[in-house]
Formats: sequence, structure tokens, C-alpha cells
Amino acid sequence: MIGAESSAVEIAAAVAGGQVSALEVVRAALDRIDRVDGKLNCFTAITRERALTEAAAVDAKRALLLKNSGTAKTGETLPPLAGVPYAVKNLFDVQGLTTLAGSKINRGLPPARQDAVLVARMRAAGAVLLGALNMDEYAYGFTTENTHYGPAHNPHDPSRTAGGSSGGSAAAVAAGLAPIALGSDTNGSIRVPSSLCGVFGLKPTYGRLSRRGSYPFVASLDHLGPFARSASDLAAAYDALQFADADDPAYSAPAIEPALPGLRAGIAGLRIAVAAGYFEENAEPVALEAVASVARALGAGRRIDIPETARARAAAFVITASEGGNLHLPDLKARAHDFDPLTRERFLAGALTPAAWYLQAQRFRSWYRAQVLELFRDCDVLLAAATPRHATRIGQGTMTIAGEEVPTRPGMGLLTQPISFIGLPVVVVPLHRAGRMPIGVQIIAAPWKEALVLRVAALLEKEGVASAPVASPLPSSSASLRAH
Amino acid sequence: MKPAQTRPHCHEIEATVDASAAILGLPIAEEHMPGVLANFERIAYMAQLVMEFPIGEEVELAPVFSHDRC
Repeated sequence: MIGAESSAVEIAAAVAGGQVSALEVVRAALDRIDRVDGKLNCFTAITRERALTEAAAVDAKRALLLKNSGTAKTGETLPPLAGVPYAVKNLFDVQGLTTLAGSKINRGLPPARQDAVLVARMRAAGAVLLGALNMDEYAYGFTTENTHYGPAHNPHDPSRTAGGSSGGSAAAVAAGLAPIALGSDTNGSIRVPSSLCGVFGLKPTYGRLSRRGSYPFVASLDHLGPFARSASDLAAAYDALQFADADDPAYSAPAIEPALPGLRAGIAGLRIAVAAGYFEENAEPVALEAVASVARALGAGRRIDIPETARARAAAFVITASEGGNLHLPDLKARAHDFDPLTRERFLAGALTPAAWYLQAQRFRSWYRAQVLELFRDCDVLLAAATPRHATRIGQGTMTIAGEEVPTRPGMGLLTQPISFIGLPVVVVPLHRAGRMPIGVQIIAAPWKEALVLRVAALLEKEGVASAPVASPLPSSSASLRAH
Repeated sequence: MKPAQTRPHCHEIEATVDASAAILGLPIAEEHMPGVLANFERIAYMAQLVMEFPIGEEVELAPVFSHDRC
């Protein structure tokens, strides 16, 4: 029986086996969006017609394959994600839709003439696009509190944020509206909402997946990646997305390296350590408990302090402000009033960043990266909390971390920002406990080791430590008692 | 971690914002100015952490992390 809880792998198998048609799957998904999304505000556009057309094409292809069985074409199969619904953060180009990137300003742009590379990859894999998803304006935030389009709500407690900036993506997956979604991560925008919505998320190595056809934020730090409710779905999506793209200037992957074949290889021989120091000093007890649970399950007793991580976070902050401000300088000059009040003054200030600060931050990035790569000589995997705490309430301007009051919107990225700063691959594994809001742990490895972090995630899922059940919202009062 | 040096004074922040905005030709509306100053002060605080770190002359920018350097 295929339903909201079904994984992408199950759906693809059921479609390929004829237990269900792709059209039936997509109609059920669209129906669920119609019923549920009014409360969650994940979607900013639903591509109903395209979804039905893509699903019908999958069914037609299957019928053709059946008809040809026994002929010379025997052996041809449906592509790996045939009939699997998915949706994308609204900074991905979708042919025929205007790429909003969470803004009002971009409404004036013409519709995209073709799909982003990763959307085209999903289509080639047989996946069916349901629509475009809510985000912080121009990806500058960790809460998806978008003034133009309204906040995305956390499916586990709609009074709380979904995290951001890919909040619509994580919330859609957590609510069972799609088994897979795509998002972007510059400083934590895949990992923070994965943690707060309790789903799996992959931020690959910087330069691994093509960004062509996605709206940029900070070119030096921008990554794209998938969300899912299982490690195998995450790996299946990641495998489908890999594509050697000479036209993305940052693309530098050494090879196409599928993760699914070795996903169940286990962790024997892996040297796993907990990231101490900064990563523990900026986390609440609930986040530290989550890391401890994962470390216990993996037998990771070692702790490694990564020196100068607070400075790494500061340097990422400066680079982000400067490149983000520079990107939007023409609109800041001409129509600052049209920006979201939640991002406008951050962009304006960022545009004024002196070159000396920016360049020193970039040079520090090289230095910090070299130090961390040294650590990976005798360590394979590092563990750190993905967010300092659970999801905050929508509209909550500040939160307490380690006894200090910090602004919520930048503060949720304290633990993700130093890692994306140097482009390391990370899977966030979600931990759920009855009656509590979910929280995630980052599984971090050396560059290009996505298959390794996915393997660790698969083991944690198999051991029952990590999971991503479809959300059934908690009563607001009980959730709030335990989230602080 | 707190920067070792003292933080820039408000008047230095204001002067820098005014001068940089003028030379860039970036008008800042009066109602946006308090937020811009607060954000610029935050960037200045972060930048100070970076600037006070002694970094060798040999350390270059490396925006793309190619495989052979990993």
C-alpha cells in the first residue's frame, strides 16, 4: 500500500512492479498537499499539470516496456525514481515558472526557459515534480519566516518554524507531502531545517552537484542537495543528481560516485570522533544528548577539538554578508523597499563590507580548511549537533544558547556554518523522542566522502537511533513544555 | 571568543556606513539606517575576529576545492 509514509524506493518499486501507477501516486500526493499545505505553507507553486504529464509519461513508458518484453528490447527498465514525487525550493529554475528565490522582486522576472540541471536530473530519473517550495528571501535566514509568502510551519508543531532557509523543503518531506525534496545550503540551509523538522538531509561537498539553473546567494559557499525520510532515499536522490557539469564554475567532483551500492557496508574500521570545543560550547543539553546517543551507537569515544572554529564561523559570516550584498547591489540601490524587512538591512550592510575584511575571511578559509583536512588523516567521521536546540516559535527573535541570548535567525546556524565554510560533505540524521521536537546530528567527513556519511546514516537508521517518521503534529502545549 | 581589540565606536560605524554607501552610490532610507548600522556593527565584530588572526603571506584564497588538493 503506497501512502504518505511510503519511501521513494518503495514507490519506485511499486510503480515498476505494476502494484500502483505513477498517476495514482501523484494524484494522492496532490490530494494530500491540497488537504495539508494550507496549515503548513510549504508550497509557493504547485505544478499540477506538469506532475500529471510526467506521471502519465512514466506509466506510458512502463506499458511500452511491457509490450516490448520478449523482444530485442528486453532488459530495459524504468529509471530509478520512476513515479516518485518530489518538490524543489523555489530558487531552482522550473521551466515555465518564475524563479522567486523567496523574493517579491523576482516576481518581475520572466518564467524560466528550462529546468535547473538538478531538476532535469530528477526528471531523467523518472521523478515527478509537484511544485516549488517556500524559503527565506534570497536564502538569507535560518527560519523560513518570509514576509512576502508567510512562514513555513513545522509539521511537528505548526507554531514553530521549519528552520531555513530551505524550510519548505524540509517541512514538505516531514509532513509526507513528498518523499524527496531539493534545497540549497550556504551556511546550513539544508542541515538546519533537516534538524528542526526531523528529516534526513545531505549537503554534499562544495563543487559536487551542479548549481546551474539555481538562484545564487553566496557563490563561494553555495551548495545544493536533497532531503528525504530515509538514508536509502537520500542516497537514491543523490545518485540521481550527480552529473559532470563543465558549465558550473565551481563543479569539481573527481568522478560520479554512486552511494547506494555500498550503503549497507556498515562502519567497521571507521575512526569516528565527536567534535568538541566550539561545537559543544554552542549547544543546549538537548543537542548534546543527541550527539551522545549517536556517538554511543557508533562506538565513538574520541573527542576532537577543531581549533579556531569560532573564527571560521565569523569568516563565513563576513563572506556571506559581502557576497550576498554585492549580488543584490543593483536592487538595493533601486528598490530597497521591495526586500523582505527580515533581510533588507542585512543585505544593505553586507554590501558595504570593506574588501580587507572579505579577503582576509577568504584567506582564513584556506588556512582553516588545511587544519581540518589534517585532522582527517587519522579520523574518518566527525559528529556535531546540527542545531544548538529545537525549533523556536515563529516570530521568536532571540533564543538562549549556553546561557547567552542570541538572535534566532543567524544563531540557528552556529554549528553548521563552520562546516560549509570549508565545503565538507555532511548528512544530518534526525532523532525523534516521543513528546519532544526532533533534532539532528551532523555526520561529517573529508571532501568527496558523501558515500561514507550516507553509510553511517544508514547504519544509525538500521540501529533505530535515527528515523524520520511522517509528522503527526503534537499538541502545541506539550511540545512547548519540552522544547525549551 | 571575544575580539582582543576594542570594538569600533558607534561614530566609526556610522562614518564607515555613510562613506561606503556614498562611494557605492547606495542610498539608505532613514527608516532603514538603524537596522543597517546594527547589522554593520555585527559584521564589524565578526571581521575583527578574523582580522586579529595572524595569517601567513603564503595563504591564498581557494574558492574551488579540487580533488587533488584534498
